[in-house]
Amino acid sequence: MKNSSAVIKRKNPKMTASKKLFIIIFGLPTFLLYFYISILPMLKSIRTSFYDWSGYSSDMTFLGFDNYKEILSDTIFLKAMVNDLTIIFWKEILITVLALLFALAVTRFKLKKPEVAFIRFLFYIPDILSIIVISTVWLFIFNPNVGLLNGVLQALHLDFLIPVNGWLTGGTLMPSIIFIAVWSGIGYFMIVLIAAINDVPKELYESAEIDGAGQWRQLIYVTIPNIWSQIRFVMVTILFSSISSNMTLIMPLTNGGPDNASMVMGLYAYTVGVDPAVSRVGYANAAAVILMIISFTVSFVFNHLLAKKDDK
Amino acid sequence: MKKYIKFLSVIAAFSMVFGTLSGCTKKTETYVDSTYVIDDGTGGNSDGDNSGNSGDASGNTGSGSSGAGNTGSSGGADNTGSSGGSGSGNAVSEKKLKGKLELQIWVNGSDTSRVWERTVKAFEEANPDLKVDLRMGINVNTQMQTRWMNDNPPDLILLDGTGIPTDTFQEEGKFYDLTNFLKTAKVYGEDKLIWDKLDHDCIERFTDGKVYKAPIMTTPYGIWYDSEFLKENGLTVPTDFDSLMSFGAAAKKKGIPALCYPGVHAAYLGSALIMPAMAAYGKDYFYKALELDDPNLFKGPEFKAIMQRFIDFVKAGYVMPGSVPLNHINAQMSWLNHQAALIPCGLWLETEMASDIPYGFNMEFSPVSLTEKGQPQATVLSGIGVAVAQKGKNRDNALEFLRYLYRDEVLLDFVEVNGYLSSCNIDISKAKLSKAAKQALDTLNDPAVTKVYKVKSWGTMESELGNVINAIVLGDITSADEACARMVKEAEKNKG
Repeated sequence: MKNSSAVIKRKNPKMTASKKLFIIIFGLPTFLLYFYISILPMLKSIRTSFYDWSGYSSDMTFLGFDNYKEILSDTIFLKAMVNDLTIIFWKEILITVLALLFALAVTRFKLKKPEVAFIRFLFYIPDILSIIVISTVWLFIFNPNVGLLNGVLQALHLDFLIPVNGWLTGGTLMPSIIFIAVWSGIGYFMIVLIAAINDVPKELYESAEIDGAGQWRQLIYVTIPNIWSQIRFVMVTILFSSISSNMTLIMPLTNGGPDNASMVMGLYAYTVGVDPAVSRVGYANAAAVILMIISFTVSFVFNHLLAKKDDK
Repeated sequence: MKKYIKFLSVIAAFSMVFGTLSGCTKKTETYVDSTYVIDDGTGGNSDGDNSGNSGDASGNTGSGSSGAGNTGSSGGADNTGSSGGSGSGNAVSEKKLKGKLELQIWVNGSDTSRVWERTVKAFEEANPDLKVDLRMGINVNTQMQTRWMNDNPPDLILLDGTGIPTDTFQEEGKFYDLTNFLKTAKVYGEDKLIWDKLDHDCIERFTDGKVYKAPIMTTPYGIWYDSEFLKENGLTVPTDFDSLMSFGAAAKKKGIPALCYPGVHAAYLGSALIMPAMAAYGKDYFYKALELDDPNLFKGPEFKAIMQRFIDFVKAGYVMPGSVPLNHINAQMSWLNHQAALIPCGLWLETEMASDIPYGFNMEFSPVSLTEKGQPQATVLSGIGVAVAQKGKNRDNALEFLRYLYRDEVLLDFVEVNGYLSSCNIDISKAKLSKAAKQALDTLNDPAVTKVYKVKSWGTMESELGNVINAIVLGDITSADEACARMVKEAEKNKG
């Protein structure tokens, strides 16, 4: 042992220094960029969240925690928080389940190659489209007067299903938004799970079949345990991406309306910061900091719980 | 080979860092919008050309007698010195300007951009040594925000479109105080004070009593309809709330919703139907409501009665189903397709939808609102004006350009192309106005119609009124008390 370690020490000192230099050279630009683009604005946001500041001048009035006190009693922000969590909750469940089902359909149900390609293409389309394009397209589909959806329902004599004030109002507002969010999010995760399922050794399925396990048991006892880390990745990624993507989806779709019914935290922070009638950047940053804390906390707890399950 | 790769990697890494960091410096304000950008790069300003100008006008009240008050001791004296000597009514020769002038102009169409191009070209021809950078486009306000943040603004800005926090800019001293300038400066090339030309009702005063926005155009809000369509369906244009209800009932019988509106911009409905009804209780009442000094005014009998009328109108089923999620273009398209008989909007509607107006559609305008029988008809007007940047590098040239904008032919050109009315007392009766614009003009000239101007920002009250309107239409608010309580709460927030 001693000898071998000595050999390693003799062989690697030069390499290690070189490696370190190499890592520094490659790591430093990335770190500097990350610091300048992400960390610094984040720190500035935290700082300005304690001030009354319009964002247009150097005049800043220190308020202490007043912005935080106000935002936590702001009914619109609290409504936005509930909306965010509702969308994330349904996205987590529906995207994970549907992406898994479609991935299973493609990999385990012995579909023909063109069928597989078609399904992949169909579900991957939203991923190659900008979220703004998706929102705009669905805005047209949901249009109460000339929208495709109402047109189809009318053609099928299902007029009674059409909401009087349009799909993006009242009781159909949040389900419609969740539907679009799920539809646009399945594709990428389906591809991830397809790759994961294809990596499960075939022998395991053969053994399970010999032992008399049907498709359902194979899913529970073979597929899911073997792709659990990918499922965890899917769930954590949905969580991370939703907190920012909710805003970009909703802004062109409803802009948080009607009457703030579809407001989400990111959009609210943006609105109070840049809306010319408000221009409260300090307050907006307080909202953004709370959003960041919620995001970190939820992600940490979620990841921790899933990791525990993974260990078991 | 390995060394070679490492060397290349190092070069690539450093170039990445330098490239990024250099991209983040202030030098990269080459920018911007459309094809009109003239990037001169040198950044020299005309302070030297028009020396001694900054801040002069703010202290020029004492020099009013000379008529040279606009720009004070230096450049201003030159300008008005020449004009003061010429006879009234004659063309006045002007000092030739030098240097540069940068304009931030929000436009939403090719016609409106052409009128600015024409104006700038004529101004440049009058001043061959002046170079005008016309930064113009539909996103220009957003694109120029960082310039305003960094106190490196353009010299003159058109206060139109979205993305300009006018109140904040006024509060934080981003705009130049035009109070004395407007009172003492003469129209470019004319022997007439701008102040004498202005319709004084249009002048917006900020909370400090000063004027930062020079009014150019104005638009009344009202109800639009297709007179042919109404005629075909035996409907007559309503004049007040009662006739609006009768109109709604008659239209409903024909299967036509009386009114559609853009729920995403529900404030249009507020400005056309609700705010004029407030003005019908008297100008004092309206301006008191605009001042927000007394939030309880919004739970008073007048506002409550207006809210009740709107609730009655909605409950009767006269609002087009599906209006709430519509943006202004969708709502206007629905109206153009006769999916509803009436739509609330300002005078820009006709130019905005010019390419979509169906053949035979006879677009007309009327100041209908939720006024009670016996109350005067009323209309709310909002103004479009320009501001001069306090920290603009070429403020004198901006003030000269502002004087130029008040020339009769320029004002007429703006009125004709934009479809708005003028904020100045000029004769536009011979201008090529659309039928709707002429009707709007008749409305303004009718002494029986109460005219009020949104001469002060209403803060977030306008968007809250829009929220309340949508909530009423969706049935989330069913009583006037509930609607009033929402407005009182918002008024308290704005007052605080």
